Amino acid sequence: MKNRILLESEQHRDFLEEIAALPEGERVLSCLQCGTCSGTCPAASLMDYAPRQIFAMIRAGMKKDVLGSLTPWMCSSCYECTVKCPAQIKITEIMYALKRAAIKQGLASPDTDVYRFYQHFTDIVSKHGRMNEMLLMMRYMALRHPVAMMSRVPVGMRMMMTGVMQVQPHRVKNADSFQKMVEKAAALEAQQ
Amino acid sequence: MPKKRTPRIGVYVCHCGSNIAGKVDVKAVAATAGRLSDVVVARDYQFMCSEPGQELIRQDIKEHELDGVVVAACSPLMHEKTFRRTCATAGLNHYLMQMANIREQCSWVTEDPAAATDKAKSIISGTVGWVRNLRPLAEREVPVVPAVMVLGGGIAGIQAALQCADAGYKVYLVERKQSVGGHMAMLDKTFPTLDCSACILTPKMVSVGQHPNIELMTYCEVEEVSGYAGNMKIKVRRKATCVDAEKCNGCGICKEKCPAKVPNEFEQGKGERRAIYTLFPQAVPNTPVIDRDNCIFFQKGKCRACEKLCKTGAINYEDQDKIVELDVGAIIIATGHSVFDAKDMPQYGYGKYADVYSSLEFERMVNAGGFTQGHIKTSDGRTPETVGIIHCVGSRDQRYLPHCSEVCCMYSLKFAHLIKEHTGATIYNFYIDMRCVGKGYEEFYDRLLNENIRFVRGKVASVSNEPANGSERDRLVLQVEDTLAGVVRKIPVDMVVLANGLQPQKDAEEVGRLFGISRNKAGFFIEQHPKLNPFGTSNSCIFIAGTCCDPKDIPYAVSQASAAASGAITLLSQGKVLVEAIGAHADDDLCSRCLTCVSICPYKAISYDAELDKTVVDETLCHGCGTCAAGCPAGAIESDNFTQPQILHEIEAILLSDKFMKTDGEEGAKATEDTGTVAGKAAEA
Amino acid sequence: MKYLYYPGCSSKGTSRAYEEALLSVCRKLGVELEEIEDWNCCGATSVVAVNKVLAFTLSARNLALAEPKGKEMMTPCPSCWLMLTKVNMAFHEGVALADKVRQALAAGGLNYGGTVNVHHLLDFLVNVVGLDKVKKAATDSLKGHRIAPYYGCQIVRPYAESDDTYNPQNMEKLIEALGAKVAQFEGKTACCGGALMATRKDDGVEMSRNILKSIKRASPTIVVTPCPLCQLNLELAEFDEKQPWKETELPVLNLAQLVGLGLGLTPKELGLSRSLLPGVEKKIKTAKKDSASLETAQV
Repeated sequence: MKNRILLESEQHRDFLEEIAALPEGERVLSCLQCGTCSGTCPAASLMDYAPRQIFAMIRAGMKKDVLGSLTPWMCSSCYECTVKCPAQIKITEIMYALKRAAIKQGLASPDTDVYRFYQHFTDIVSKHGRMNEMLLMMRYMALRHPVAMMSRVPVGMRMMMTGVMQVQPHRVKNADSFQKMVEKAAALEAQQ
Repeated sequence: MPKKRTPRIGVYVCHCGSNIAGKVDVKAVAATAGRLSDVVVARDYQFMCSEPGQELIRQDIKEHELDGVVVAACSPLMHEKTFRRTCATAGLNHYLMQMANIREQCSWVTEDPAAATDKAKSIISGTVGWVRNLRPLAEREVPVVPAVMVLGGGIAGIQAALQCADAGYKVYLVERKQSVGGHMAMLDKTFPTLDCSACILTPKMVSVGQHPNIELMTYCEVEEVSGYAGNMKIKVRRKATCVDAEKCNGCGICKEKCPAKVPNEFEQGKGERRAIYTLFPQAVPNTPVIDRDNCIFFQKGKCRACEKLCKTGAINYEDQDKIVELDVGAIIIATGHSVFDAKDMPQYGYGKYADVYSSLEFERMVNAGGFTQGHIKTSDGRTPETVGIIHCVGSRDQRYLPHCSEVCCMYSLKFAHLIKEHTGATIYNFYIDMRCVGKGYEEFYDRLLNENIRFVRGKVASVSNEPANGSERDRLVLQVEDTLAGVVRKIPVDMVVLANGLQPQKDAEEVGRLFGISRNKAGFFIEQHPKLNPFGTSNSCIFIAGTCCDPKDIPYAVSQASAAASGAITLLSQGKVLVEAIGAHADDDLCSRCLTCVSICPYKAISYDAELDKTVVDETLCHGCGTCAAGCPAGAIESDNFTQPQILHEIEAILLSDKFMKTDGEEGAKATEDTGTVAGKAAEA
Repeated sequence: MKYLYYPGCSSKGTSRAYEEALLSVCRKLGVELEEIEDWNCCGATSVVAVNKVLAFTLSARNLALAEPKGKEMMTPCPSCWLMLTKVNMAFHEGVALADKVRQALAAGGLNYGGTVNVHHLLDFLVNVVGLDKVKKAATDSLKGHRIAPYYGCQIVRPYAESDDTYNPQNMEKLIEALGAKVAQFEGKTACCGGALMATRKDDGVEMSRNILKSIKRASPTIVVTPCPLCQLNLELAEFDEKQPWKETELPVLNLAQLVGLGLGLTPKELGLSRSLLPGVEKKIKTAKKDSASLETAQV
C-alpha cells in the first residue's frame, strides 16, 4: 500500500455499515483483526491486500481501494477463512459481494480481468442454460490473451483426443420461460 | 371489631430521569392514577428512590393516613427493599407497599410512546387493584448456624476458609479430590513476580490442614442440599480412601511398590502414578488413596502388596463411602474452572502432533516436580531450538468460548520467559491483543519485550508438519499473518505451546442446581450484582469466589474469596436472619389431600401429617414461590398476598380500569403546584 | 426407489468420464437414477460473482424441476451440491433472497417448495446406498492398492455433509469397504486452486502441485477425489505440456471411477482413457501394490 495520509472527507464513511447491512455481512462488525483469515488463505500470496487487511480497509472507509483490489478476484472460494474465523464472519460470501459491487460500480481492479471471465460465463449460461467450456475460453481468451491461449493448446488437443471437449453449445428446451426467469432475476438483483 | 375503612392508597410515578419519562407521559399517568378509586394522592417525581422522593412518600403516609403505597418505577429487584424501608420508617407495614414496574416492563420495551403511556396506566391500575386487598405481613427472625461450608479447595476456597476460621467460625472445607491445592498446585511459577507457586501455596495448604476451626473434608462430594437461609443441611459423601488417616505415617512405600501403573491426571496424562497414590508430593492431607478402578485387588482380587508392606496396618480394603450431614449457616462456592480442550480446534494439531502441548501440560513439564523433572524437551528428548506459543486458544471465539480468559496473555509471557531461561531457544508469541492489566503486568510485558522474544500479532491459522520450503524435516510449521508487518509467515518450530482458555467445570450445571445458583450463557455462576456484589448470589447465604464465576488471576481470586468470607462472616455475626414473610397456607376445608403440593414443592417445605390428617407447610423452608398454589387442583393452598381473589382483582383492574375510576360524586383530583394531584380528604367511609 | 440425478455442466464436458463411471457404478449397485429433465447450470462461483439472485434462481430451477419427481437428489459435483444446498437453506430460513428467487421462478412458470434433499455422490454412496452394499459388491480388484483420499474444499466447507470439516472420513470408509488401503497425507482438504484455473492458470497449478507433493509423500498408487474440478486440476498439475504423451506416474481418479474399479467394472465403463494423463489404465494394473496380507494402515 502506498504510504499516504487518508482524509476522512475523501473516504466513504458509511462503507462499513453498507457491508454490515448486507445479509452476508451479519457479523462483520465483530472482527477482531486476528489475521486467521489471511493466515489460512491459500491464495493470499496472489493478493495485493490479504483478507484481514481488506476488512481493516473497509473499516477505514477505503471503498475505492477495496473494490479496486485484486483480493476478491483471487479468492478461490475454499471457505477456509469462513470456517476458521473466530467471529464467524461469512468472509467468502462477503468476497462475492465485493466482486458484484466492483462490477456493478465499475471499480474492478484494472490489473486483472477475471471479472470478464465471470461475465462471459454468466452470459453463456443465461442464454444457453448450460456452460460450454470451448465457447467460454474462446470469448475470454482468444482476443485478449492469445499467448495464454496458445499455452493451453497441448491440453486442448489432449482433451479433443479423449473426447471430452464439448463443441456444440447446449440449448435449453423451454427457452422462452427460461429467458423470462433470467430477466426477472436480473431485474431483482439490480433493484437492491 | 373496628369498622373496615375504605383503602387510602398513594401512587408515586417515577420519571427515573428519562428512562421512564422519555417514553411515558408521566404526568398523564399520575393524573389518571389519581382518578382511580381509593387513591387519595398521586404524584410524579424525577427520582423516587432519592432522599427527597422517599420523603414525599413518608410525608404522605403521615399526612394522608395512607394504608397502601404503589411506587410505579423500576423493577422490584432494584428498589423494593428501598421503598419497603421508606414505608416501614413511616409506620406503614412494608408489605402494603408494592411496585408497579413501568420501566423494564413498559418504557424500556415499548416503542410507541402512546402505547407505553396506556400500558403504564393499566399496570398501575392493576397494582392499585392488588394493593387494595393486601394484608400486612411480618418477617420472622430465625437463628443462624455459626458454621460455614466452603466448597472447593483451590486457592480461593483455601483463602475463604482461613478467613472464616480466623474470625472464629467453624469451617467445613469440602474438596472432591484427595488433596487441596486446585489448579494453583499444578503451576510452576506465577506471574508477574515469578514466585514459585507451590512455595506460596503450600504454607496456606498446611494452615488449612492444621487450623483448629477447619474440618478438612477431602475426597468428599456434596450430594444433597436442603434447609433454608442460615440453616442449611448438607449431605456430603465421604468417598472411601481405603487408607486409615490415623494410622498412615506417610512413609510412601505403598506408592513405591504398587504394581498397577496409571496415567497421572495431575501430570495431564503424561507420566504415571500408581493405583495407590497421593495427588502430588506436597499434598494436604498426605494420606494416599486407592483408586479402585485401577487397583489390581479391587479389579481382579489379587496383589494386596500395599497391605503387606504397610508397617502401620493403615490399609483397609473394607472401607466404604460414608454419608455425613453438615449444618451450616453460610456456603461459599469456590469450585474453580476447567481448561478448554484444544482437540476441539483441529487447526492446532493438538492430539495429532506429539509436540503440541496444552498450557497445563507445559506447566507440568517446566515444573521441577513434573514428568520431565523440569527439563523442557520435545517428545523425542531433544531440547527445542524454536518454540511457538499461541495465545487465545478457544477464547474470544464464537464457536467455543466467546469470552476472553483474562490470564492467558500473562501466562503466555511467563512461558516465554521460562523457556528462554531454561533453553535460550528462539521464542515466538502469537497474540491478537496483549492484555496485561494487573499490577506489575505491563512492566512484565516490557521485561519480555527486552528478552528478545519474537512477538507476532496474528492468530495462528494452522499447525502442520508440511515443510515450509522443503528443507525442514520433522518440524512443525505454523502459518500465520503477521498483521502488523502485513505479511503471511510460515514459521518452523520444534514445539508448540497453546494458551488454552478457561471454562466452567463440566459439572457446573449440577452444582448450580444443587445450590440453586444460576449460571450465565457460558456456564459460569452468576453473581448477585456484577459491579457492586461480585461475590454474592441471589441467595443471601450463598457466596461465590474464584474461577467458578469467571476466569481470573490469583490476586483477584484471593480478593474475591476474602470478600465472600466477609459476606459469610457478616451474616453469621448477626446471629439471626430474617425469613421472607410471604408463605403458603392451606385451607383444610378445600384440601382433598391429593398431596400434589407435597410432590411439587421445590423446597420440600410441605408435608402430610397423617395423624392430624392435614397438609402442613413448614414456614421456615417455604420461600413463597407459589408453585403449590399453581399446582393445587382445588385451589386450597395459596400464598400470602397472592391469593386467587387478590390476583383476579388485579387482572380485572388491568383490563377494566375504567370500572375503577372515581364516579362524578367522589372528589376528583385537584392539581397542586409541583408534585401531582391530591384528592381532597375523602370522607371516611 | 428412483433417485433424481443432477449431472452439472462438467459432467457433459471435461468430466464426462465422471458421469460415465457414475452411471456404470449405479447400474452395478442396482441404484435407479433419473436425470432431471432440461436441467441447467447451477450458477456456482462464476455467476454468484456477477448476480446473486440469478445464481440462486438457476439452482432453484433445477430443484423446482425435480420436486414433482421425487425428494432425493444426487450430484457428483461439490460446487453444485453446495449451491443447491444454499438454495435449500435460504428457502428453509425464509430469507429475503428466497422471496426474490420465488418471484424469478414464477416469471418462468415454476415454483419450489423446499422439499428436495440434495446429496453429493460421496454421502450418497456411504449413507444412502450404504457401505454394506458397497462392501458386498466389492471384488479383489483394488486389493493391495494404497489410495490417497483428496477431498478438496467445498465438500467439507462450509458444510460437511455427514462428515467432519477438518478430518473427513467418508472416503476412507469407502476405500476400506472396497478392500484397499488408505494412504493418509497432510492437506487432504486443502484447496486445489480450481477457481483460478481458467484465469490464473499458473497460480492454480502451483496450488495443485503443492497438494500433489504432499500426496506423493504418502506413496499412494492411486489418488481419488470426489470433485470433478479437483480431478482435472491435479491432472493439470501432473500434465507435462512439453511431453503430453508421457504416461502418468500417479493416476488421479474421481470417486465414481475408484468405486467402479473396486466393484470390478472395466476401464471402458469407467472412462479411464478420458483422463488428461495418458496411461492411467496401465499404471493402475502395474502399480507396486502391497502384499495382500497387510492390513489397512494409515501412513
